[in-house]
Amino acid sequence: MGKTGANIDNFFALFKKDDEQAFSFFYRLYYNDLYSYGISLGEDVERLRDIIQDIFYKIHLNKHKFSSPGHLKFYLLKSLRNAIYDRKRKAGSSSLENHAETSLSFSITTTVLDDMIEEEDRSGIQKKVDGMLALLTDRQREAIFLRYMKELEYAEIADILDLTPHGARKLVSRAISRLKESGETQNIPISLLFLYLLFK
Amino acid sequence: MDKYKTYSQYDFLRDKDFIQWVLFPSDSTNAHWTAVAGSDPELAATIEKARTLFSRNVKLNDYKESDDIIDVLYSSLIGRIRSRKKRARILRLSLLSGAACIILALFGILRFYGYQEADLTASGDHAAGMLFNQSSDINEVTLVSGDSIAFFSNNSEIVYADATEAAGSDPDKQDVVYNQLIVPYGRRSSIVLADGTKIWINAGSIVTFPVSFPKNERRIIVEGEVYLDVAKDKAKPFYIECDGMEVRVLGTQFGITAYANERSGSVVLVNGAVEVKCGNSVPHRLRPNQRLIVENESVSVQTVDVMDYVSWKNGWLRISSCSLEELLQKLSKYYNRNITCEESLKSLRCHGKLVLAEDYNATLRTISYSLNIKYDQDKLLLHN
Repeated sequence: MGKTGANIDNFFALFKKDDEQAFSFFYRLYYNDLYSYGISLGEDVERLRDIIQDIFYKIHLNKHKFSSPGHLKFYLLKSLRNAIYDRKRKAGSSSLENHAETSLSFSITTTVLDDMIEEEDRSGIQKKVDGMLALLTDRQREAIFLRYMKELEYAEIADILDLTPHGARKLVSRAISRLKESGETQNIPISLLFLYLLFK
Repeated sequence: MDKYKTYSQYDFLRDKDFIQWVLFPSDSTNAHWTAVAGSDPELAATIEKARTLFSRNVKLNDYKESDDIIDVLYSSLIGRIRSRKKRARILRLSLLSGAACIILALFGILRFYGYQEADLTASGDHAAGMLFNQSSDINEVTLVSGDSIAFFSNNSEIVYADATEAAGSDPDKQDVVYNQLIVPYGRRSSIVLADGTKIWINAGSIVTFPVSFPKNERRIIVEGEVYLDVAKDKAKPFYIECDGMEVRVLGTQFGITAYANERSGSVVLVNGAVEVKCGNSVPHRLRPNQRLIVENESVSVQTVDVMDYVSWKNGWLRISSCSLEELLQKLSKYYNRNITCEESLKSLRCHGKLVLAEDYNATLRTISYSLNIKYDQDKLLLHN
């Protein structure tokens, strides 16, 4: 891990000096982060590719503004969300009734590979995870995606979702407690039934 | 706790609490599972195996593009970046080597890409709306000429030679070809037209002008704020069109403000004479130190100190007793950023000369030092 860490920092220093190879490195490093975020936000592939290209083009013009690779990653994700939000807002404004604020849907899809896990277990895991995530709001899903999948700091999540850092923490912890709740309600009817049968 | 003792790694994979912990760890679940693992080293090993198995196989939002596609996308992006760099390099070199070279370089570019006989008419809406999009990625002073686009550094001066003569064409037969200079927020530029007229262009403005003037008149289209020093030519009166106003000139110096997103426009005369026509009304003739304002349909004329309105062309703002709130409104417009101050500071009187730095933070720091207040860079806010 130490070696990779040193590499990123080296590349970052070169990136700021307008080194093309370093720019290519960061493009390939963060491309799929942006791509997965965009798809989760419901953007379509062709438009998403254009948006990502424009973002990297702008990054290249403004490379002196970044203080660290983490800062760059955060900025990329934030720009992507803003671009998608802006586009949807503009598209929405052409419809007749648009009093509601534009909100972005956020989906989380589970994929279970078959490396030493049987079919039955795979579908069991799939159902459980899907079930858990279905109970969350879009915003909660987006927050846990940014926290756990993209590993952003709370301050960064707050900036992207227009919250205070404290608010971001609360959003994530509420999502987590909601996930926990999703298990318990299902078990109660079964155990009640059991008790009933036992005392019949 | 006890139920875990008999668990195999697959039992853990079926356990909802375990799944939640591996996917979305929190302080409390971490504590719980550390305790479980701590109670029994064999159990700890099983848990670890289950974790590894789970992480390897379960992916959330595992959307990716293939390396091949990313390679293709990258090539196209880097191509775009390289050609922009190349153009900028050529032009910057020209600017450095002196005025004569500027003329030649520009001329060379126009020739190389060829004129596009654009059927642009001198109509404000059409031409001004052509390329400029306020939220676009135009960050630099940009000159548009047919198919080619050139970038200039801030404050550069662009000079046009009389292209008709050199191109060997007949001004009577040629259609008028327009170029467009786009100056984004936070930048300024100046341009000298084919007849020697000099135009200073303020932030957030576009000037559409002919490469060379036809026989009977000189006409340009302006959106935003400009200051003109018009070369004398009695045979060809000079007209400026902007957002419903038409200003007719005979060799003078004056400033025009007509931003598309604002409802009023104004013309300030430094010296000489201009006649301003708004819509179908009778033309107003202005004298030096007069300012004409058009708001919605009404027109008014006042006597002013012109330097208050045109000092920006020299790169600084002359302020004679305006409130901090008004000053920040001007700066917000110039830099296209929302700059504000605390309620208690809004009516603070400002007086003096403020240099308009390219970086708005520098300008705001200057204000904070001179007024002895503080500047919060993150919030773009001046406060006590």
